[in-house]
Amino acid sequence: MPELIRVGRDEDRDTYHLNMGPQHPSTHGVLRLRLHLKGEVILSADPIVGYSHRAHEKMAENRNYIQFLPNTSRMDYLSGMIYNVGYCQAIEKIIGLEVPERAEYIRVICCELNRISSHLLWYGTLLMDLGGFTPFLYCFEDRERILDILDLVSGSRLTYCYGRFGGVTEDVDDKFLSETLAFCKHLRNRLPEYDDLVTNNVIFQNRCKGIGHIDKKTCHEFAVTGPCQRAAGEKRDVRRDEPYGIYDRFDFKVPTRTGGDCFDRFMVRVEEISESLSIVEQAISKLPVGPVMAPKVPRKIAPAKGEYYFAVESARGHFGMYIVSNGTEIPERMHFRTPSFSNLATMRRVLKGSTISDTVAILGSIDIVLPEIDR
Amino acid sequence: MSSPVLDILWSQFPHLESTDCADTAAGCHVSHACRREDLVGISTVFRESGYRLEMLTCLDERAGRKMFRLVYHFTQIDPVERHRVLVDVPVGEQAPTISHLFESANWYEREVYDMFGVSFSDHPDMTRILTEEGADYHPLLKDFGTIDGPVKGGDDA
Repeated sequence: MPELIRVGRDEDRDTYHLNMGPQHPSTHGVLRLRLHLKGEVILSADPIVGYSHRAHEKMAENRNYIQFLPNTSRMDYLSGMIYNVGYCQAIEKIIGLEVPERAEYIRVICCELNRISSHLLWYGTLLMDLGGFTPFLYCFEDRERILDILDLVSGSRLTYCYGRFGGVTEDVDDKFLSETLAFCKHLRNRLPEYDDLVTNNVIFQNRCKGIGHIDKKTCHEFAVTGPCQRAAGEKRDVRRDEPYGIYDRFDFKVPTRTGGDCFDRFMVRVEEISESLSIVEQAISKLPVGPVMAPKVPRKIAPAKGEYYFAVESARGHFGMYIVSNGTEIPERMHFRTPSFSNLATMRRVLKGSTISDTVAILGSIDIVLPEIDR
Repeated sequence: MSSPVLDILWSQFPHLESTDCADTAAGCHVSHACRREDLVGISTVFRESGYRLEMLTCLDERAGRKMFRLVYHFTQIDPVERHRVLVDVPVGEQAPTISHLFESANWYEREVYDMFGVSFSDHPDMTRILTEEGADYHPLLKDFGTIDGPVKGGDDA
């Protein structure tokens, strides 16, 4: 008989297995959680991934470095700009290509806007999972403006392919800059409204405080990165620790909390939105004039034989690219170390002992993107 | 490059071949070529020195060296110090698991098994993770092939 309806021995007669997903709305994509329950309490949880595996790493071995550019933003479709630009920066570092100053600043502006849009989507969907529909509308209204702004320069709303080896495809115009500044001002005024609506809401706080603890030890063992790690009290951020691009020129805080519960992860991301806004404003105020593409980009990208690793901070954490070149135009191997893969693995430990209703909040608070896990 | 962990490693594992990569584009500070039988011992040293297992992947080098090569990244986060450990696994043989030392290795090793068919001895759950249950292929093997072959482009288009 199938596991689901089997009645066990006396002592485990009260326990049963439940599949949460792969179509469950709170799993944000196609994730299946195999839960073993006693009443409403989870005895063990096993996340099952792979439903959106498209073998990006295999595709990388069958095309040249330039042809792989559009794939990058399709791994993590919520921070596609960061992935796309990060891949360009990795290749530029390997082949030693200088990027013009203006392009560096434009990249920072676009990446941080992308980070805000990712956090806004997470904000809205977390609240919707918890039963609050209104914040979702607020977040999507604001996120829509970012998508419009990025659409102006890149021509895409989600799966950007704006970066090129040596710069970016298009220069930004005055409309882009004025709309970005107007948006920053708008969102800054909006954040107090968000706080009144959500952060200070006692129902929301009661649902999020004290559940889903991911402590420092768990972070360490599971190699958790990003906002989840910072919520546990570890001040780690690739932008600060291993500066890439021109991030060392900006003044920004790395928000941390100490508890590592759902509410702490929520607060870290909310504060990150403000920090990203500040980076965008600093970058616009310093934006130099000049070209946006390096004058001499080799027609054939064929890095010297060897192994390379490059990491950037995506909206979810440490995104690392391990690239092996055999000296030709086609990479020998590319491996992507994606943050959600490690962050989701903690669920086996974290969900133990919590209830199904809390599972929705916990899963929402770690902010997973399944296509990035499955690659 | 000097680091307390290097002194421990070199004194305990004379067969370790280390290369300093700190000033290159390699993205790690030191790269170590390690014997398969030393892997668990080396991992234990990294674990006890406060490193985390950041990444694990595999390379299919059956065509040239008749080997699979496992690539481990052990990272200290403050200050950042990244060690790359390379381990050769002959075709058809197993690698030792380090999932009892690093929780993150559990899923990473499953991914390597799924993609390359390299299995890890004593792993608590050596099953596929990304492809479906009961699949009879390992997609990242070089001879797995693609439907259309290499994508044409550039001068060939």
